[in-house]
Amino acid sequence: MEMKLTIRRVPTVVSNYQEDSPAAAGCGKNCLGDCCLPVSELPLYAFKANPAKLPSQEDAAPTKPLINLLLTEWENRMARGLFRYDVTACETKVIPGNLGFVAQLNEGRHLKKRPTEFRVDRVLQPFDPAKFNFTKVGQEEVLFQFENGATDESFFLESAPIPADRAPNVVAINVSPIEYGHVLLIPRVLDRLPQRIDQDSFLLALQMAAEAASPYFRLGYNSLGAFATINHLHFQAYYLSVPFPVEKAATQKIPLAEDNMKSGVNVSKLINYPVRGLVFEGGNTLNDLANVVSSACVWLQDNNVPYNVLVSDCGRRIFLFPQCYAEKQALGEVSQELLDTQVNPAVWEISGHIVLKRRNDYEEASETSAWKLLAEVSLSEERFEEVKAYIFSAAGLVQSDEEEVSEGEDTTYVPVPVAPLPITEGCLVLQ
Amino acid sequence: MATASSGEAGQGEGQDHDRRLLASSLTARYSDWVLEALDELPGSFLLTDPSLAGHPIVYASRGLAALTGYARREVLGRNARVFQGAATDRAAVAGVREAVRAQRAHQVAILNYRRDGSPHWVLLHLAPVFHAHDGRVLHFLAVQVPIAPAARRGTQCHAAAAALATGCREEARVEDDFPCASHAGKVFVDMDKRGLEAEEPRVASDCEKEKAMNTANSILSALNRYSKLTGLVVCGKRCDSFGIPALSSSLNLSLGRIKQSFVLTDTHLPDTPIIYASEAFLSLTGEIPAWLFIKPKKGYVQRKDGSSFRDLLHVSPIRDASGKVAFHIWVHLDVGAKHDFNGLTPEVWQLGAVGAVRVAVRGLSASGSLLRLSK
Repeated sequence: MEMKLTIRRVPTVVSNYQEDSPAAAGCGKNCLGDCCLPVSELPLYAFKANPAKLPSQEDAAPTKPLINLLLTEWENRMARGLFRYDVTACETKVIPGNLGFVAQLNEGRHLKKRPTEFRVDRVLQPFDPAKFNFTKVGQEEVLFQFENGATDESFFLESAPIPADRAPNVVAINVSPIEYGHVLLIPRVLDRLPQRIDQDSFLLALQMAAEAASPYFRLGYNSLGAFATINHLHFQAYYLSVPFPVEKAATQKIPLAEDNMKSGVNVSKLINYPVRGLVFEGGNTLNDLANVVSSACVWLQDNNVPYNVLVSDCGRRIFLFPQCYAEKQALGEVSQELLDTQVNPAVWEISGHIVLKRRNDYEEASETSAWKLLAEVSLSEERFEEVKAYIFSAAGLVQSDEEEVSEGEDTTYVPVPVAPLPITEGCLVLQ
Repeated sequence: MATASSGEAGQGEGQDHDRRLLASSLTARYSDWVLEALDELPGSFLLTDPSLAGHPIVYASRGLAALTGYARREVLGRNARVFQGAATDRAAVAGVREAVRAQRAHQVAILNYRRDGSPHWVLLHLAPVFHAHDGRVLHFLAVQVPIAPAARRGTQCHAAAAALATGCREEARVEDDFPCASHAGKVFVDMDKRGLEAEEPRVASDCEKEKAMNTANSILSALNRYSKLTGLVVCGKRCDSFGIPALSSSLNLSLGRIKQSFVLTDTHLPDTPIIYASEAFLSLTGEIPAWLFIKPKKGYVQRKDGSSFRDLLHVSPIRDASGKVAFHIWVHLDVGAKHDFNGLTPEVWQLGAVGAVRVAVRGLSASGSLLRLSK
């Protein structure tokens, strides 16, 4: 007899149509369902065909068409009043300390609605069309389709028909944004895929990061059981021109056996960071990197280990965090003090961007308090090593027999810049 | 009392019309979520609209009934003097009236009457809610905090105050130098009345005042958060003069990459002077005429050389990381000239500058590198 582990939480409203009762067929609401979408047109951003090699250095060219378009359209939706609140009116600060956690006070994100039960012990659950999913969002909440243009140059069309032969990938706004530009990337929206990573979808996420070409535009993924609330395949993304703590944390490279060098992917372990995780970098092509990471994710999903993924540095660095906070919460093992902050440690929080509900928590936020919260999320060292071994096996990685190198050699510690980082690419030029 | 008059015959219709008018006072300016947010705030408070006939109450908080005995719907549409009564100090009432007329904040201990006629002392905290851009008053907020008799004060009050927010943002702050009217000696009390009405007027304690202030600030925060995002920003203070801030080099660098023709103005300075003008703007107009920026204008703009162009103008407030409005951005577009809008409409294309400035300001501000002068 299987016992279900659940927690109760107030789900975030990501679409203005989320609270409506499920619409009958032919809703006339201009949604993304089969009733409306196939006959509609949406703007289309076609990204450059897969580059054979990842750009080694950031492009000298200052133009970033995808980001420009995304911010323009986002501002347009703001002007049209589609968001539940103005996120730029939410105080935000970088907490003094080594890692520079970013705290935000957002009292409007979760109104006092009735909390819903979420099952936290099954990472893979079948798609349930009765529950809210992204086919129910309004077309005005969709910014554009995001497809591979299969040419050397990316291009944008104000209006393009939905392809007849395959489901479109769309980028939609999150009406309860964490930051300016907060969007959802929904691969093959009409295929109604449940929240689970596969190689294609993960590659799409990397392609978006690479196309955006900005280290301040990151993508994130939460599995079920790791605080995803909508069981319809999606990634999140937003723009914040501040480094994330996890991006500044020290890492230690894991030496790999010779023949692993084929794919060119490196793996490191995070050290001196409250949540244990792996960092995947390199790869001869974006495909190689996507392959390795998605294999790891698939193992975690199939073996019921909840996890979060952060895609950073234009798709060059991927952070993978297996976690267990929700399970602890369901078993009553989390202190009331932490529960009272009502922070659900999903990918952004784990990466160091923490949204706080209560002013007290915000005023008193410190590196220590952030660390304390995130430490609860991490797998124990023992369990992490166990999971890591399985992940390696699933991803075809072989740890070499070399002795663990002492901290001197391979440990890369990115020194905390004393002065604020000059924004070399920061602002955004429309051609 | 306060609702727009309706004749006998059209009474039902008239009432509906009034109700809609009252409801739209808030929802025209703020998104619907503002009502939920206000409903969550503790305490007894009202929002009134001075632009409607009779200056009626357009919103009453959940805590109103507990304090005054009036149900919320009973006071909607009525003027706030419904809470006053026979022994309410006339000088106190005059003070409130004067503050409303002068559109400034005011705090006063006043004897109010509950629905059942029983009197009680409250600290009334009144503050105008200004449209940050053009300075007109959109609403007044009025917070009522009960004043305990001297004997009963102490730990209870202190604990309550400690639980409330203490941080205030300038924009959301109500002016703290308002005259606090302690009317000892000026009360005209009819000696025949008993009880509260006969006792000395109460003076609010510091923590009661702080509680009122905090509630007022929470209300302003909520209004700002949910203001309809068409550029409406509210603040509790009219523009004061500050020194013109110097933009940091990082910000200048970021702004320099934006291709649209735009300027940034500083909200807090009189006449909202320009603190940054893009290259494209300077070549568009040839100079920076001051008159151009007092009011939003769609129309013809004259260049320095005498020629003119038809201008498509978009204005938006820009907030920094503290959530306060730091600047306004004015994006111009010469409608007649040829542009590459990258497949977008001109109006939407302009918004690119706004988005770009927003993220630059927010990010740099969070890292403390927005202005050369540190805060």
